[in-house]
Amino acid sequence: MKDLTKTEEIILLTIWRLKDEAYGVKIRRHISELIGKDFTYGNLYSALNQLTKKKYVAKHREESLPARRGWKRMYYTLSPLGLKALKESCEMNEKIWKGISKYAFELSDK
Amino acid sequence: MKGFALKSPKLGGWLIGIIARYYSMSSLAGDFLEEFEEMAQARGFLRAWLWYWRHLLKSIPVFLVDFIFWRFVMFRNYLKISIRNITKNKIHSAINILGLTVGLACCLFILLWVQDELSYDRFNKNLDNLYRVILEYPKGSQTAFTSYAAPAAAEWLKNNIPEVVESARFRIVANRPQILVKHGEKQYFEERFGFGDAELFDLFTFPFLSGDPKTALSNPNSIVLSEDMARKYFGQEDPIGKVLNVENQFDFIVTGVMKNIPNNSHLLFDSLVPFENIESFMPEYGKFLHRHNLHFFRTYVLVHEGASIPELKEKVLKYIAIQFKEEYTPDYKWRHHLQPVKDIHLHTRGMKDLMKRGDIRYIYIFSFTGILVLLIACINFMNLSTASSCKRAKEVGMRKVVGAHRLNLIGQFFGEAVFSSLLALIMALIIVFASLPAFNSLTGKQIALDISNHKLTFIGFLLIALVTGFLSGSYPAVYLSSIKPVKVLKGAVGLEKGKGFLRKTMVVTQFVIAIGLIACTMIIYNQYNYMQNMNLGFDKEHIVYIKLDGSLKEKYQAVKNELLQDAHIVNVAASSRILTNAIDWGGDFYWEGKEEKEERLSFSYSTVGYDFIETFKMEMVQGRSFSKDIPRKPNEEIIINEAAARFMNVESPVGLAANVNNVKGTIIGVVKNYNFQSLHNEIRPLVLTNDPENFQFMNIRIHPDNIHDTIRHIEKVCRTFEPGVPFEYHFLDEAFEILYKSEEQMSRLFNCLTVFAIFIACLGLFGLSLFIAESRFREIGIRKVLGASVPSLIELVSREFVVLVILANIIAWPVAYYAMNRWLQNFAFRTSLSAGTFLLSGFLAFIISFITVSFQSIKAATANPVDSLRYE
Repeated sequence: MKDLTKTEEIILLTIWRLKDEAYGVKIRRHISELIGKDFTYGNLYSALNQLTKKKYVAKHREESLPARRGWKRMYYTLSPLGLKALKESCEMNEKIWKGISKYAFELSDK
Repeated sequence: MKGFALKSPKLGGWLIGIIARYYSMSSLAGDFLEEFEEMAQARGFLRAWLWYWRHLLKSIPVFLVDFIFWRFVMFRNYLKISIRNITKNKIHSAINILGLTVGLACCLFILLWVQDELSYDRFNKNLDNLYRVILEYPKGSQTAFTSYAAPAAAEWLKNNIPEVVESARFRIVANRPQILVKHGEKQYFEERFGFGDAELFDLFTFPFLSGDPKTALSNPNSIVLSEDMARKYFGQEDPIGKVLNVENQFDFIVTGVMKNIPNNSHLLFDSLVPFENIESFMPEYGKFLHRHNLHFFRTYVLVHEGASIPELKEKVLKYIAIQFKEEYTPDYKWRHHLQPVKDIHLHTRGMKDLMKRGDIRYIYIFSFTGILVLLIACINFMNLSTASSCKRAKEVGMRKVVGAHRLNLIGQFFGEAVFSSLLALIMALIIVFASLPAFNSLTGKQIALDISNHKLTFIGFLLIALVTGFLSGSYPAVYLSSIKPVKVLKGAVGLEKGKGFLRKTMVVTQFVIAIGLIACTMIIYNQYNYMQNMNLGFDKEHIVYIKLDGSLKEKYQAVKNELLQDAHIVNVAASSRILTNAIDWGGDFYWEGKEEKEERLSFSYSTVGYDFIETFKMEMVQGRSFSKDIPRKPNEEIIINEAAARFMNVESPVGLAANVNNVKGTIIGVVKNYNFQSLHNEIRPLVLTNDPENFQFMNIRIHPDNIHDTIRHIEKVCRTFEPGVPFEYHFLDEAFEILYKSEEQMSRLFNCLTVFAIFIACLGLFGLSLFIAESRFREIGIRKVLGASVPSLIELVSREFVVLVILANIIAWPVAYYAMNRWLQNFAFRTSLSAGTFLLSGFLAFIISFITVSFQSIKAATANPVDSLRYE
C-alpha cells in the first residue's frame, strides 16, 4: 500500500473525527481551522476523488436540502481500507517522531 | 433575508456545475451553495459573493491540473492504441506512413526552394526605396523591355528629379566572359568583375570588412574585392593597399574588402572597379559614356522615403523625350520606367537581361504541384483508414459502450492521423537532410539548413505536417466516429456499398493528379529536347571557342593561319560574341530608300570575321559572305539575315548602299535565319559587319576525330603567341546547355515530383487492392470452388481499378493540355502538343496501376480455396 500524502492523511483524519457529520462544508471548515488557512474545495475534491477511487473513502448517505437547489449533500465515511491506511500512517508517524519533542528544533540562544 | 438563494452567482454556478458533473460529485456544487447561503445570512451578500468567487477562482487551477492529468492518462491509452494499430497492420501502416513521408519530403523541399526564391534581395536595408531604371523600346509594332539604361541617365535623374536621392550605374564585364587578374604568381580568370559607381554601396547593403565604402572607389585605379576573392589572392595577408594586375594592362590598388554578396542577390560581383574604367576596358562603350541613348548600363536609383511613386514614374517616363527635345505623348515608344528592386528576381519576365533570375510562375507551379503530391498522400491515408474501418469498428463500438463521447472518438482519430504525420515528418526531415546536397545540385541553389537559422522554416514544416495530419484524419474521424455500437457489436459492419463512391472519387482524384503530372513531365522534357536538338540555322557541334586577347587579337590572322596547319582544324572565324547570345547592341540601320530621321530603326547588330558563315555552316540565301580575297575597310561590307531582308521589304537587298551606326557600307549578302539568341526569342532582324576591332572570340571548328590532340595543338599555338595567359577553351554546345539550364532544371525537378507522385498513388492503390482482396477472400474461395478460372478472378478484383484509372485519364488530359499549352507560349520555338504524349502518359499510369493491383489479385486468385473456407 502506498503511503498517504499529508493532504490525504488530514482529510481521512477529519472524516474520521467528524463521524456522522462528515460532508463537504464541514470537512473543509474543519481542515481550514486545523491548518489555519483557507482550504479550497478544489483541493478537497480532487483529493476526495482520488481517495474514493482508491476505496479509502466511501459515500455513506446523501441528503437533499432546499438551500442546495437539487445538489445533494453527500456524507463520507472511512472504509476499512481507509482505517487501515490511517493506522499505518499513525504508526509510521510515531516511529518517525519517536523520542523527539518540538523543543529539539529550537535554536539555542547561546 | 429571503431571496439571497436566488441571487447566488449564475456564472459561478454554471462553472461549478460543469466541474461537478466531470467529477460526478454533485455534492461539490451543493457545498458551494450551502456555504454561500450561510455566509450571506451571517455576514451579508457582498461578503458571501466575494468569498464565493475568490474560492472558486482558487479552486479552478487545482481542478484544471487534475483534469489534464486524467486527460494525459487517456492520451497514453490513445497513444498505446495507435502504436498497437501501427504494429498490428504493418503493411497498411507502412503504406500510410511511407506515403506521407514521401509527400512531406517533396513538400519540404519545395518549401525550401520557394523560400529561397522569395528571399532574393531582401537583405537590402533600402529595399523599399530602391528602383532599377528599365527601358521600353519599340520592337516591331509593339514595345519590349530591357534592363539597361543610357549611360548618362543616372546622373541626369539624380540632378533633375528631386525625389531621387542617389543613383548608381553598374556593368558586369561585357563582351568577354572572363577577365584575367594577376597578383604575383597567382593568376585567375574572373567572371564577376564589375564596373560601378561608388554610390552602389550607398544604395545596396554590401557591408565592408575593411576599408571605407565612402572613399573606396574615389580613386580611378582602386578596386573593392569580396571576402573570398581577397582570400584567394592574398591568403591571410591584409589585402588593403596591395596591387592587382588586370588583363596585363591595368594596375588596381585594393581599397576595400566587402562581405561576400549573398547568393540571393540579383546583383552579383566579386570585384568592383570605378565606373570610368569602362572607357579603357571596353573602348567601344567608352565613347558613348555621356550619351542619353544607346542603353547598356544597369542603373539604380534610391528615392526619398515616402516620395510619391506615380509622380516620380511620370517624370522618369519623359526623360528620353526631353533629351531629344520631342513632345512626350503616352504612346511615345522610347521611355524609361522604374522597376522596384524587390520585383527584379521574380517579376522580370521577358526582359532582355543577362542575369539568371527566377519566375514567379514557377513558384506557383511548384507550390501547387507540391500540394498536389501531398494531397495524394493524404488521400491514401483517408482511403486506407476508412477501408479498414471494419477492423476498427469493434474498438469504436466498445469505446462507445463504455462511455466515450463522439467528440472523444473524433479526437482519437485526428490524434492518430497527426501522430502518423508527425512520424512521417521525422522521417521526411531525415530524407531532407540527407538529400539536400542532391537537391542543391538539381536546382542549382546553395541552400543550407540548420536549425538555429531556420526556426521559421521548421515551424513551417511542423505546420505542414499538422495540416496534413488534420486533413488526412478528417474523413476517418467523422466516418469512424459515426459507427453505431449496436450494429457493430451485432457484427453487421462490413464494407458498406454506399461508401464506395467517395473512395472511388478519391482514387480517381489521385490518378488525375498522377496522370496530369506524367503528361506535363513528358511535354516539358520534349520541349527541352526540342530546344537542344533544334536546327539553329548553324552547326553548334565541335566548335571550340577561345577568348581573343592581347597578342592573340593583334596577330589574329597569323594565329588563324598557324591553326589551319593542323588537318583536324576545319575552319576558324572571329566574332564579337558567342553564338548563344550573339548581339552587341541595337545598331542604327538605314539603307537606300529608308533615310535617317524618318523613323528610328534598331536592328540587332554583331561583328564577325572572315569565314564566319562557313565555320558555322550557315547558308547564304543571296549574295556572298565576307571574303578576304576582296579586301575592304572594316564595316564596309554588310550581311543581313532573312528577317532583316523581309523587314526592309525591298526587291533585292544585295548591292544596296546602307548605313550601320553612321558607317557607310554596302549589303553584300543575305544569310539564312539562324538563332542568335535563346529559343525563347524569335529571330529578329540582324546586321553583320566585319570589324576586327570588336573581335573578342575565335571560333574553331574541329574535326570530330581525335579531339584531345586537336585541343593540344590549339593550346600549343596559343602559347607561342601569348605565353603569359592561361589557356582556356570552351565547347559551344556546352554553352548552349547552360542557356537552357532553367528548363533543364525545371524538367528534372518535375521528373522527380512525378515519380514520387506516381509512387505514392500506386502505394495507395496497392494498399486498397490488398484490402479488397482480403475482404473478398472467402468470396474468391467460393467462386473458385464453384469453378471460376484464375483469369476471371483476377479480372473480378482488378476491374474496378482499371475503370477508375481510365476515368482519371479522361479527366486529366484536358487539364494537362490546357496547362502545358500555357507554358509553351513562353517559347518562340516550341514543340507541338501531340495526342501521343497524352495517350502514352495514360497508358503508363494504366500499366503501373495494373501491375500494382494484379500483384494482389493474382495472389488472391491463385490461393488455395481450402485456406479461405476452412473456418466456415
